[in-house]
Parts: sequence; structure tokens; C-alpha cells
Amino acid sequence: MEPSQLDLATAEEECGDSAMGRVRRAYGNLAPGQRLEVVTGVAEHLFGIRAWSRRVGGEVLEERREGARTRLILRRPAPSAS
Amino acid sequence: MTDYAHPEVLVSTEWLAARLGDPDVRILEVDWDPASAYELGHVPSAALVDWKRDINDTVRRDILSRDQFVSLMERLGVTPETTLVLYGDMRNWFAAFAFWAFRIYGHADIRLINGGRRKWFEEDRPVTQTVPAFAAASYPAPEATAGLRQFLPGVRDILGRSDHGLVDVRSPAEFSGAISAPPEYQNEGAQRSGHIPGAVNIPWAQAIQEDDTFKPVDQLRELYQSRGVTPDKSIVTYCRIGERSSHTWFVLTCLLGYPRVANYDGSWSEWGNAVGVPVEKPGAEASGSVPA
Repeated sequence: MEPSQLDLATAEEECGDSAMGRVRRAYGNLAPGQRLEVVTGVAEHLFGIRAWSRRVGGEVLEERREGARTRLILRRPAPSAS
Repeated sequence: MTDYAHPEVLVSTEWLAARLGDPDVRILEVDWDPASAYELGHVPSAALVDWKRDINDTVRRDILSRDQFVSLMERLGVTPETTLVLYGDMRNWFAAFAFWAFRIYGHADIRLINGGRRKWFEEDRPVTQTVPAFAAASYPAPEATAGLRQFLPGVRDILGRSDHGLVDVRSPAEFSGAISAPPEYQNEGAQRSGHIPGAVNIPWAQAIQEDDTFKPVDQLRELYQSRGVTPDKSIVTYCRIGERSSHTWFVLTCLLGYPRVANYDGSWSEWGNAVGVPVEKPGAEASGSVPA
């Protein structure tokens, strides 16, 4: 399945949701096992995404630098079998 | 930064890095959304100021009261002599709002980090999740300073007056009335979209550079004066809830030295919902009339 995509470049001009708020919202809409691709050129966003993913148990599958921007692929883990 | 009218209120990330742990300096991260910012990582020894909880009256729509201000300062271990250094999430908007509110209550030494949180992270400077603790201080109740804040009746009174200027710092889409608020902010919407008659649209971000630091003083002067926002006028800034306009209030007051600038923090979320106030919306018929 193709990952959902989120480009943070235009996150804050209109005083809408913060960049991290958008990531959290998009991640919250993922089904277990589904991936989210986030693109940003802002170090503050990268730090926040990594730190927040650790906090909620999300997985950063890939982090790829592309010029001035970085592409991250997050995955919402499937619930572990009990 | 020496060309600015009041360069002492703006500090660099280098300046801050050399003063981490200085007991005379209190570093405050002012966040709209602490869970997405301060709680994930912040400047070492920085304390959190939660904009919604700490800078607002949580029942009435108002900025923090004088008693709230005193309690906040005391909880943060701040005395009237302490140097407050502010930065925060959302490109320093809410830090600028806190700067403005603390100025209203007369704190003497407040500074804003040029480039803010974004620049600090861009430079790969140290961050921590450790929350500092400070011994409570005593802060005498100050008198509020008049003239830094504008209310709806005051804005209505200046409509059409050539000795006043209104600066709408929202995005062009908000100014034109294409949107009134993004859908994720349901409590910031308005019954009407558009702008206050006579306002010029100079979006807040035009005052900063790629790295979020402020533009040089000559560029800022050109930006505002070319649109008729000149220091001989009394200027009112507004946006949707008053935080982006605090950023522009800071530019006009502290960097350009305009003597009479007030922030209308009721902004569009008040004006666009008020009964009987005139609204300008390109392509729509004139709404209301300008009071004589």
C-alpha cells in the first residue's frame, strides 16, 4: 500500500495547525501497519517527528535527504499479539 | 542588530548559548502546543510558558490579569530585575504575544531570540527534555501600561482617519475573505470574512528572512513605509487572535521605533463576529459605513 503523504512546507502561513500538529493528525488517521511519508526542510520538524515517534511507539522506517529537504517514512505499528 | 531602534530587545542564538544557566537570565519557551514542542525538546534551562494556560484568562476572553502575571512571574522565580528571554513554537508568534503582554505589565528587561526555536534547532544546538525548577520569587504587583493594546471600540473610532493606520498581518487569503479561519480551528472562525475597512495587508512573514531572523532595518522600513505605515501615524496591528500581529507589533515598536503602535488582540475573531461593524471584502458590496 502506498504511504499517505504530507508536505510540511506550507504548514504555518495561515496560522493553521502547527507542522507537528499536522503530523500527529495524519498519523492518527493511519491504520495499523500503514505508512506516512513526511517531507520537510526544517530541522525543528525533523527533531520533533523523531522525538514524537519515539514517544508514541511509532517507527521511522526511512529518512532520506533530498537536497535541502528530508523525506521520512513513518509506520504505525500493528498491535502486538497477546 | 545595532541598526534597529531598540537592538537590546533582540538577542542571537549565540548570545543565548553563552548564557545558559545564568541566574540573572530566565529563558522561557512560549508555546501554543507544548506537546509538539517544549515537551519533545527545548533549550537547556528553559521553562515552559503555556500560552493558552499562562498568558490568557482561561474563562474570559482576555490576556492574563495582573494577578495572573504576578503569580506566573513568582512561579518562574522571576523578579523585576530578571532578564526574560523569550522564544517559542509557531515561528515565535506566541513568544511575541508574551513579550507584548509582559510589556503591558511593565517588566523592564524582555528579549526575543532572533530566529527563535527554529534557528536553534537548525544550528544543531543542545536541547533537553529536562524541566528546570526555580525557587519562587517575590514580584510586586505592577501597574498596567496603557496604549499597547487596542479594543474594538477604539478600532472603530479610527476608521477613515488619515493619522491612523491599520495593518492586517494575515495571509492574503484571509485578508481577501477567501477564508476566515482554517478548518482545524473551529473556535477561531467568524460570521464574516474580509478585513477591517482601510487596512493594508502586510503578512507577518514579510518581516523575516529564510532562517526566521528579522530582515535588516532598511528592508523593514521600506516594507511598511511603502504601504503607508509610517511612524507619524498611530498604528494598530491585527490578525485573527492577536498572536501574528504581536510579531508585527514587535517589529514596528522595537525594531523600527514607531512611537504609537497598539495590538488589537480581539482581531478578526472578534471583528468578524461583531454586530454592526463594517467589513471590506473585495468583490462584495460595501458592508456598513465608516463612522463620522
